[in-house]
Amino acid sequence: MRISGRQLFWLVFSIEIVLTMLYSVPAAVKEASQDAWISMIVAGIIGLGFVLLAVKLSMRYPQQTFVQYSQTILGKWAGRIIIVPYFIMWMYLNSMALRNSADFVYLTLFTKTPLYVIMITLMILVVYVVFTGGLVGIARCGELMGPIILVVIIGTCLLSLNHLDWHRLTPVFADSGWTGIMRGTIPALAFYGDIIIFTMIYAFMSKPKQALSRTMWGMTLSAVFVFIATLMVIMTFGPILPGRMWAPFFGMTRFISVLGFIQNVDILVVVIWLFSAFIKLSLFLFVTVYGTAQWLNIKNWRRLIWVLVPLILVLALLPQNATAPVKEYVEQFWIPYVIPINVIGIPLLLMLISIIRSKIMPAKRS
Amino acid sequence: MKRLWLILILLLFLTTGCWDRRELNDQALIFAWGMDLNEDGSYHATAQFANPHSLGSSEESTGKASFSVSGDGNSVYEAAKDLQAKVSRAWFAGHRRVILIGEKLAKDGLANILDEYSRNPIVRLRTDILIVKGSSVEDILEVSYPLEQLPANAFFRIHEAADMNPDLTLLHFIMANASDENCPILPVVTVHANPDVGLQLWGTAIFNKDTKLVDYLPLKKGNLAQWIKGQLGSTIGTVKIPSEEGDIVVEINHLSANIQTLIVEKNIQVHVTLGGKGILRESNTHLDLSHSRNVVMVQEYLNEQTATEVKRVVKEIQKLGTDILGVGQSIHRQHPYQWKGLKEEWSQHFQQAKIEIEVKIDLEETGMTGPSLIQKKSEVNS
Repeated sequence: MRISGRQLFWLVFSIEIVLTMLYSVPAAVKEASQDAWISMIVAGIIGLGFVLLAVKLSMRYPQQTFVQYSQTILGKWAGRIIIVPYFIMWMYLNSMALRNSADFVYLTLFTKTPLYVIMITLMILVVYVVFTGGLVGIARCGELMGPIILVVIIGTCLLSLNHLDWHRLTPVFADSGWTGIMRGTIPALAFYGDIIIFTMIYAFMSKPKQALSRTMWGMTLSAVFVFIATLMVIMTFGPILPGRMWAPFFGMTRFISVLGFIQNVDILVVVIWLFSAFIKLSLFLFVTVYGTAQWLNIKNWRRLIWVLVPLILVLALLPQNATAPVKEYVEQFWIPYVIPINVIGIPLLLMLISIIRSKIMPAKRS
Repeated sequence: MKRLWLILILLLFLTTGCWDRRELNDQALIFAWGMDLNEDGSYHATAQFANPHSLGSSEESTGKASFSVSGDGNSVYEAAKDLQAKVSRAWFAGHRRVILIGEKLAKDGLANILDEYSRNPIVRLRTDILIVKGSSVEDILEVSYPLEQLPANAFFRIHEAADMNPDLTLLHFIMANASDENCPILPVVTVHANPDVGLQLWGTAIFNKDTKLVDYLPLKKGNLAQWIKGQLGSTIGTVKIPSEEGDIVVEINHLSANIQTLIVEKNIQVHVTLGGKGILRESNTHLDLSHSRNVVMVQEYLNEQTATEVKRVVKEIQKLGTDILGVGQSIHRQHPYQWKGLKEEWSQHFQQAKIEIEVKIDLEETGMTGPSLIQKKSEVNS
């Protein structure tokens, strides 16, 4: 299993862009009102920091996945224990991404279809691509769907241009101040933190040297579009309403009306949303299954699908409503625990130990 | 294994996709929706449905293109459910572009009924909301309008023909109401005395911060207020020339508005500049308009007289204490730090603000003739 630099770029882009654009904007606007776009710039820069950390760490061991090199760095037992929080994160990401995707379809299209039916339908597709295609299959899907996602986003942005009022961005800075703006970065950062999952992917790069630049570009493109989306949402709905809407970017596409006959293009956003959700879900599932197999020393990683997928489905049905996975869980679990521990803390610790070890015992590094 | 997969996936196509099946034939499309208040405080909802049998066919239609049904309930959706009992197909509100609100309900406050119009995923935010003055909502939905197949479209298009953007009415209302600064407005329609004409755009309704109807502005005054808000496309101005007997009427396009604010020791000074491009449409005077000094004179009088008129309307609005003009918004944008001290009692501050009006219309065209063709040679003043 090998993936190219271009495939990596589209994977990063399609995973980061859509969810962040839809769900982080309302939370950011609630904190920073019309200055949320400044928050998005800051969040993008910090997101690039996450990328740098994840790639630099992985590139010290370009042939190994995160599960493998944590054992190389810390030794067999400590290296395994440190995977526990990641296993929890993988399972959580999988089930919540599934829940989000199903909720979106449920709310926008099929309000009478039972939620679990939507989930199982999605999951069958995801299992199919992971089982038969593995990472290569996912990467090819990303290469195909990523450009479509980009085109649709650019298209909806262009069609929304006619009802923008830049006055709605004023006054700049005075209402929220630095505290508000910094608090507004957190929701976007929560989504950008997903990038840590790629520490499991870099080992499959055909040219590991491309990892840094391609991930950086994917992240930058996502951050730029999230920034543009935030600007446009505020210029359409003002500084107050986006904070109260469920997905204001989607609301904005529903609001499109050009020359009275280009209307109802929101269905295109549902389509790219499903593309993004599909790639996200399958990549997460692959990482979870493959990582768990390496972690537990199981030879045939594909067999684990049948154990983990039912578990993911059950976990996805636990949240009581659609807002819990995107709001309360993010606030109470993802931001206080996962971001500082899994995304920043442990990788930094591993990096530090790895550097120290290579300085003390340069001969041992292979 | 692969074959098993294929069978599983094929099976899937057979088992799903029917929960949300909705055939067009099973739906009744709502085009206009009316809400009013009953004596006992419950809501009275009226929906105007399209009659599918008489729509779209070129032949002589057998009946009216639309019909209206009413229902009662304590909320929008409850009333809609009550209404459903009288309709043979499930109602569908995805095409609803017009919402009519009765005067009584408007005075009681709209806060409780507006939520449904943005929460339901089928409904679109691009909706026109109008206040019905002088008659019940049920009656106005019964009025048939000669030019439109569906009377519901008449409301929307009359509003559109007045050079406002009816699509954005609901959004502007919600945005103004959610903000600290603005008070919302809505257009007003009435039933015209002549049954052949049917409907008439009457003016503008002013709401306070509790979404309660406070007062009305008749069409002309309402238009001036909308001009200051920057939501009007064009209007007309009548100029009286002191030395002449008749009037000159100017059509004003490309309307613009700019509000500059100044805070001097808690005194708020507001300078409103209204701009536009004028086209002279009618002259009943003896002026020879092929001379540019006459045109300049007309322009000066036009600006002066429009400013006085606008000032009168602004005074009227200030007396109500409802900032529908966007003055507070301009202060917020131009003096964000001082605004924090003003916003609590903005209504009072707005009443005391000194608002100056300056009108800068460029009279660019005088039409195809210089002096009026009707007059004798001796009557024309050059």
